Amino acid sequence: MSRSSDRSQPLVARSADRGQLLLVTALALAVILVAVALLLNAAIFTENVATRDTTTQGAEAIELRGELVAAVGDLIETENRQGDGSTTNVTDGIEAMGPLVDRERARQGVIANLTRNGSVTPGKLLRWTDPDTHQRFDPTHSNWTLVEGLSDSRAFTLNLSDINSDPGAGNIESNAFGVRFINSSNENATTYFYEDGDQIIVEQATESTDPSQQCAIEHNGKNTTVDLTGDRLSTNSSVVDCYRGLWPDFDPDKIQFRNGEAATGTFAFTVDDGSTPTTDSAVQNTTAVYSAAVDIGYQSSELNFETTVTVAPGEPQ
Amino acid sequence: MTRLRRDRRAVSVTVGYVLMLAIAALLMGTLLTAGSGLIEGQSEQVVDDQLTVIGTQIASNIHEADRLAQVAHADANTSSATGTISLDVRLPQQVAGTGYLVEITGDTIILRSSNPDVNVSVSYPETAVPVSTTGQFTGGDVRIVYETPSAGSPVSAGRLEVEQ
Repeated sequence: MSRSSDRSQPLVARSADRGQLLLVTALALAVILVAVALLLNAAIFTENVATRDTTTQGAEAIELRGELVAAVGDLIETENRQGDGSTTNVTDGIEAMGPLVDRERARQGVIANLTRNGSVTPGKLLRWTDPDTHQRFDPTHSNWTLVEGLSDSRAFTLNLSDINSDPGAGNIESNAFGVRFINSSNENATTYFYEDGDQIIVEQATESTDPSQQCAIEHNGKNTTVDLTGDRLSTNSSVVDCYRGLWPDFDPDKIQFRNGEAATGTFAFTVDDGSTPTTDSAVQNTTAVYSAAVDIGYQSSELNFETTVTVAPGEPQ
Repeated sequence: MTRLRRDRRAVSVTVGYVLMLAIAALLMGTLLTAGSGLIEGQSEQVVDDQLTVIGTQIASNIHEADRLAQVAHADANTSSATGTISLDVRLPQQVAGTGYLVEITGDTIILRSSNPDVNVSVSYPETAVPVSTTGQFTGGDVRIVYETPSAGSPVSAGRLEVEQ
């Protein structure tokens, strides 16, 4: 464009030329700013995701499993204590529970299943013939076998109302009340109980080791419940977990009471159907439900969890 | 004074125009260079952050699956039945507009994007059930699958299969 032609252009046209350049720059800057805004948005979203719990509902699935195991366990124990230990009643109970679980969880947008897996396993419940009356643990003999030929056992509890005082070091094995566990290779472990002031002391010995203290609880003159399979002592005001354990490390084949004259109380023990309990008339052997296998399912939009649990409440860990 | 203002001698429209163009071009160039540099730096940072968050999400879900697998394994050992888990992890297909690759090893999750070139490693504590994957996979949803091994097997005999 010649100088004369530049001069001939109106002022508005020349200003428009400059405007085009500015417009292009402005557009380029706008694109950059939009890109920065998008990146900022991505960064904010990332921070948001980073501070959120993005895991699936694994904890809920485990919680559901725990609730259902506890519910079926309660059903079994209620049938054993208050019913006649009928496997049919437990089967019917589980089948009735299934739709309730499904309906309750459906409100939370989750599909939950509880179904019986196979038949309910029968067992035997061993207690005193008069189960609620406290009596000395020597109905006929000081040392006697409660049950033998055990393959499975659970929920072994003692409720002690009276127990002899500390027999002194060296005399525990011969004088303190104890529960002896013997396996099929004749290895044994014995858990002894004696009173020391206001405390019940629990010691354990094996054939090769002297008694050593496992735990103790203040009984304050009240009855003490010893959960041998659950490794726990309790009174009506306190609970002590025996972390060193009250149950032996091996699977017992035979269980005996030792120095039975040194304690008074009640007991309850659920054993498998194939075991042989004592025929002593002081002990009653009633039909009971040992365990029930159930299928548990949890299905949400992100998680599908299916497991089969054998529910045997109070089985040693 | 008024006369000097009105005097247009020695004033070149062309030189003025060229000067204006040069200054505008310089300004535009500076702004674009600074802007694109800013975008590049920020983009790399955002991709790095997003890959780190995605790696952490995968790690936490692997641990969730591991926890469930241990429960299912303990149940299977007593019931002799089979337990199964299928866990979906919802992940973005792109980070800041670019695709990425995920590779999971025994204790590390490696995430890579090519544009910008970012490489992120997220380590996670060892799981009781070993994690198994087939090479690397592209970004997007991931599924973790588990089936209990035969009854009596140790928990380490099972596998958490991570698949696309």
